[in-house]
Amino acid sequence: MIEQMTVIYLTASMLEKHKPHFAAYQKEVLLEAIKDTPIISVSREPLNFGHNILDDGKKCTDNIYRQMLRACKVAETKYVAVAEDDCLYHEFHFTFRRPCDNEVLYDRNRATLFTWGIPVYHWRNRLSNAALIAPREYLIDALEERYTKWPDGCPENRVGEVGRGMVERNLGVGLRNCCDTHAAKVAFIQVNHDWASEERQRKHRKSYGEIQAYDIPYWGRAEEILKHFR
Amino acid sequence: MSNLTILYLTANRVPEKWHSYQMDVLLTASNGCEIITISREPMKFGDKNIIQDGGLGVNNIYRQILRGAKLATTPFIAIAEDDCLYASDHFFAFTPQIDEIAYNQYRWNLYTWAKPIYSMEKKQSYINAFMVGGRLAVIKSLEERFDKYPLVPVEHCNEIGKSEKYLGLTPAKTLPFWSYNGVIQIDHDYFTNENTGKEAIEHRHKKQMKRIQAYTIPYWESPDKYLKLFV
Repeated sequence: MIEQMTVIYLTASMLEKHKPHFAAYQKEVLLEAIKDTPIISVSREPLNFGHNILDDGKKCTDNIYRQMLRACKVAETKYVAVAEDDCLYHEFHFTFRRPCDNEVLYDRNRATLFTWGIPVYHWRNRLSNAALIAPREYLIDALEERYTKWPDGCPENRVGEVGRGMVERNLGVGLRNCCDTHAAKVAFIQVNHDWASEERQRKHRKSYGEIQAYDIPYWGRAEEILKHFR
Repeated sequence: MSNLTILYLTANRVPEKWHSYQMDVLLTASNGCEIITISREPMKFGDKNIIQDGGLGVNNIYRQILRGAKLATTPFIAIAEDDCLYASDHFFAFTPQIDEIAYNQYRWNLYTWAKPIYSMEKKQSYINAFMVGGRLAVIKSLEERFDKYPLVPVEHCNEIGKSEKYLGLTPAKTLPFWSYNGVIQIDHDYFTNENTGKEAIEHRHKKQMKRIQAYTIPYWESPDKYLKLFV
């Protein structure tokens, strides 16, 4: 169990429906990483995985953050970590560092895999919500500030990760402290696929990151991981 | 004819097998551009050979680079070191402006004493071995450095662009770039006379591997064969 941590598991239930083999594998990997750490799962379809909350909003980026806020309020631990349904996490991701009480933390060791094209891990120079670890109260405060300012929902072209200066400036909310310079010793893997909420993934319009590798410690060869997605 | 000259730096201390292999790789990567070898011993590699005339040490490395830059005639120069592996896109995929000095960021490290794993970090760093710059800009910056400090304080005698503000020199125009294939830098025990003692080696071997790690990477594949040469 990871002390003082709740994992907020986000899924649009698409992989559960279209790629059940991968969905089962992904959850198995997550459980191996977090053991009996509390989980709050947020899904569109009922899911027997931790404490389940049904996603009650429309499909959009803003709604992801609304659902995170709901889950944060159900959680009781000092810290929360986001886990997305298309990511494979290692234990080190959840334990490598704790953020201060007034900052959010993003693990920079995020290897991306595309289910199309060349099976190669690659690292992009961008923060991802899937890498977020935060003090629960600080995150609640940040998200509530957004929805106080934007009660009908944040504009889709402005919404994004908590702690990203550009996002918060565009939303007109306070800038949150963000620790984005640290990386866990083992990468976590984010799979980009055809059932993602991001249009660029569905249309295969994403470019590969500059740093690339075929075979990495702990996870092995990229094509072997992608076999779980067939 | 290429507009780039490679200044190849070697203290002739790396293992022979490795050295021979590394020069072959460099020759392929150079695409026939001019190579000026700056070595401690005479070498038949490249188009011209400068024999290093100073003692070992960081000040002298930059003095030798200045000599090499003055001997070259092309608008751009790039540094190549004897413990690094380069692919041609490192030298030719990106050309800075004539007054700029650019440093490749796509650098994998390999430790000869550790498991055969490439590692790197996503932190911007300017490393001499991965510099491609305007020749006159390099000359100007190094001449200014040595005019003001015949012996630059060691803590500030480093890559162009790093220490000018501490030394009261004109800031160099520097920028990072990413090659398509990475470059490889071997961390080993054959550096200079000063740090080959037991304590220095023990200290070096405590160096932690960087966080982004790989067993196999595009273009270079597995690190095993490189490490086997480095004995």
